[in-house]
Amino acid sequence: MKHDFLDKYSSLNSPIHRLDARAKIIAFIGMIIFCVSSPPNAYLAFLGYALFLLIAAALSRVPPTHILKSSLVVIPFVILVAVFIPFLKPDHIGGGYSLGIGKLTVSRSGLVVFENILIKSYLAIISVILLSSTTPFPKLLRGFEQLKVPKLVIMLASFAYRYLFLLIEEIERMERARDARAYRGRWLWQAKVIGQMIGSLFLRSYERGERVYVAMASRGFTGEIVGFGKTKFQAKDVLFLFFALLFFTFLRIEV
Amino acid sequence: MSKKLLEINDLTYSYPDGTRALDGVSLMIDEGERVGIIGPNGAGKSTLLLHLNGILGQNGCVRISGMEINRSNLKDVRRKVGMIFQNPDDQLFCPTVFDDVAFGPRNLRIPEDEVARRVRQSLEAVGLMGFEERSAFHLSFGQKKRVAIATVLSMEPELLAIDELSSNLDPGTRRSMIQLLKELGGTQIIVSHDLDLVSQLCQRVIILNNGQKIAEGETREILRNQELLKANDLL
Repeated sequence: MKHDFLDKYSSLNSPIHRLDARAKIIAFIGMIIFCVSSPPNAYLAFLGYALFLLIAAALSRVPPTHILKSSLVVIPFVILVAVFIPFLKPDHIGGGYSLGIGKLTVSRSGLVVFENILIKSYLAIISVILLSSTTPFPKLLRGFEQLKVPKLVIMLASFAYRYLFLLIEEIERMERARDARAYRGRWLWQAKVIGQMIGSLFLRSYERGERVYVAMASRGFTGEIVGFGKTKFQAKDVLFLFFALLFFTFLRIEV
Repeated sequence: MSKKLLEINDLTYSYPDGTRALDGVSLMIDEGERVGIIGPNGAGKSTLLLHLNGILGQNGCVRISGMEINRSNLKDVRRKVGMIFQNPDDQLFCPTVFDDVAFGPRNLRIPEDEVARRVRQSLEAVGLMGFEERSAFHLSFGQKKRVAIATVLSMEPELLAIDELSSNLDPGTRRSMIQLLKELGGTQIIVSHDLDLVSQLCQRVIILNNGQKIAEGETREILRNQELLKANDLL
């Protein structure tokens, strides 16, 4: 399948894949909360979280290259935001280093913040990647629904999942049709075409939305969202969640 | 005498922009009948279909098994009339095939174990057992069409209303879809401009053009009338 980047490894069969979506959601997102709230110099704890992710990744049999590649997509955004922090203001406690370029200085606490953001966000990214590549999206939705996320949000996410790829295909078809008529995109006046494409894509999506609504109404939809039904929490889910949270608490308090 | 399942009496409809889409259409369909509605593009066929379950109208011109469609009985009407749209991507909007087929029954507040039973039964009826956990996106066009049919079968409708069954289907898939509709039986309304499909499936056809009923009769009779077909852009 062409557009399988979202669900590529999520239907493997491993101990992690077989866990209930709720257990995984709480564990992986819980880890992020524990990790982010750690003090900046808790390096041993960071190592602990990394160990947890490493074990989970190994058990899940998701190829490490997939996890690393996916993380590379997100991390540049973090760096882009965080890279300015050390230059923000030379503080009085930690002192700063003058770079000798005009008034540019690097603050010591700024560097600590920068380093912390990098470590914590990278662990968080890996955690989310592991969650999404060990749980098929429909199960993830069902998990969030059972964790009492508002049904409207669930429904929006499910539509986004269902129609994202169709939209991508539609864009590709439009591009093909455009290029078939000798469009090269070399001159500024050709930028207008892009605007027109976005406009017609919006209209098409809007019309599709109306047709989908008619199809929903035809099957008795009255605006009240029923949801996807329930799954059972098993002993192994409880066990996994218990040990994961115990481990995080230990890291957070003791290390 | 067989029972009348659908009665349309002098139905007229104009879209909000003033375009008149239906102009005094009357027709009747008996239980167990398979009727084709043919006509050129823009004849009002799809608009007519949208009246069968009260998406449009609700003005008392349409009756399903004697019951007038109005705002208070829409839920009942939509259970009785299973609508299959032209583009299955519009009809399959859930993350998995199971959820799509279960959407109707769940809206009817049917208990979850009965929902599961109906989903299994409906998928079996369209020959797609074991597809429950698939995403509609990963299906072929013909499979999507089949799932679209299953999504209404699970509501156990009395009337199947099918819009352009054969558009975009290759001949082999088209043939298997025709076979499927024959097997499903029941009362069916088939809107199409595929004359061959209509002649294979329907005993009776109605020609619609410019929002009006032009002709009605036995399929063989109507399809033999070349003049009539040509006059309505069907040949």
